[in-house]
Amino acid sequence: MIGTEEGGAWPQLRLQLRTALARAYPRVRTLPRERSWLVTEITLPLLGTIAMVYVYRALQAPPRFTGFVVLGGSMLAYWQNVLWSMANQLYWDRHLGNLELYAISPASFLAILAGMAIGGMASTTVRAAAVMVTCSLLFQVRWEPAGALPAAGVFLLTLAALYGLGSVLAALFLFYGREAWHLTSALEEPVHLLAGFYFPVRSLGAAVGGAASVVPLTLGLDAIRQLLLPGSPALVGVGWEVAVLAVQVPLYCLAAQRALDLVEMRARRDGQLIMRPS
Amino acid sequence: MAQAEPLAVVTHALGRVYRQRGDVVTALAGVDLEVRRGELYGLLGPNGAGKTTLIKILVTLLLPSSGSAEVDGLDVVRDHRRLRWRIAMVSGGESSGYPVLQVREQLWMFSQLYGMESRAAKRRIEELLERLDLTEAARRPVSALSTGMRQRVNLARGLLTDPRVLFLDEPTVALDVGAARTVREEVRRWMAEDPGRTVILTTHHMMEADELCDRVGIVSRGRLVAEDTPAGLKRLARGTGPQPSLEDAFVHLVGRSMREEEEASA
Repeated sequence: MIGTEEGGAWPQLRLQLRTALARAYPRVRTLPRERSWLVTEITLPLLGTIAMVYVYRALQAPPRFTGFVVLGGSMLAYWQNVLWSMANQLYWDRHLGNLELYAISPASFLAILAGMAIGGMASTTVRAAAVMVTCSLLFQVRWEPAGALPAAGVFLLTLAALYGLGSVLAALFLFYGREAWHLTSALEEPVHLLAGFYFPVRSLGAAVGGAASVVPLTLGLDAIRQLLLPGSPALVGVGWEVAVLAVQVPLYCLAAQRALDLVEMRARRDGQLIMRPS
Repeated sequence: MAQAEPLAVVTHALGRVYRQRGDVVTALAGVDLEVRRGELYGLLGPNGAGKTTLIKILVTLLLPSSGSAEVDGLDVVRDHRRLRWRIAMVSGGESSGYPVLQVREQLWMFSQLYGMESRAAKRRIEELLERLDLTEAARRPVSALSTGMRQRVNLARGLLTDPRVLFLDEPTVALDVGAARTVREEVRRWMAEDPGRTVILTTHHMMEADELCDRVGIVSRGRLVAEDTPAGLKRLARGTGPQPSLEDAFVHLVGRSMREEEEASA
């Protein structure tokens, strides 16, 4: 028998790390092999962002709104990745028969989801960077250079919390089976509005902004806007937003672990959820 | 005193019911099974007899409703996490993995779920590709493989970690003669390499069970209705013809069990 069934922290950590990297691999390998993503994942979102800039320009909005749109257009990619390629993925993996193979392996579902997240982040960052760089150059957006480093930190924290939430959603979507598709649609557009992708979320009021903060992008985007476009209307200060994001990271990871344990227990009890449909 | 070698698989009064929209369906009704280490044990039965349910319980995908089951000395309910290091499952008609990956990459990906050191995994993959006549296909995307090649890749995935107990659920279903033969030969060769390896095989191909299995259990309506070597089962069906085949024995034994059950319930 190859492999080890030793307990202990290090062998377990090594197993979960290997699992995460292995599950990230198909995501990363897809990029050069399926070139259609250059159109669907880069060109089309880029055109969408450019169109939104022209809408604001036609409305004679202040120039910083161009920055809001470019930031939102970049970050939008991560939310869509979390919804379509992470939350839904366990459901598709079940239909491919992968989920039952994952389930009978010693690897944890959380490591599998971490791999999806890492792979998803890698591919999505190409799209986000393309939108950010192209639109910044095209529309001469003036970012605050001093805010770049802290904004990068907030960005990473936001992604950690966001993909933690993605793991929770993946468990929930698996639980609800075919309804996952509708859930994804239900979460996509409303969050685009509530998270303030194209305008400061404060415009919606503190209550709506606070409720929308369940999605880490709301706070992350608001904080990055404050750092890169000083003077932007803020929901709350950057410090508070960072603090809430820092709490969301472990909170969502723990919630995901709990939800995945429940899904596995229910799957073993009921004989569904994980097994490939016959 | 020397400790007795644990059985590869042992079940006691193993039962499983499914509840579907108020109905209770009994898939397994008290199965007692003992499979020795090093045995290639076949499970035969009509569709819906409970073979796959039994396998799913033994590979920790399902909880039993009653009774108990151990695989390689570990309880499938209590010790399922440890057990998962020691087992693998290959099902017929599997389309697992990711179509964008090449064969070699796909196998590597699955090896990592068992924590295999990457270099060791790559060596093992090359060895299996060669043995399963897949070396030339190693760089082809999985989506471009024929059904037979795909199933050989699935078998390679099952053998990657050299599990203590390998579960093969109809591994040659929909395969042509050549591909099915390659799968059978590789299973036999893999077992011959280590006397501690055990295979549990479900199949509808009687010839396959006859050729491969040391012993065969026949499952009908959730019960193990007969169990013996293929030759022993054929002897049980002697009255049915001059030289009964395993298929004759199967039809005879399943039919007899159904009649007995109906008489008992009448």
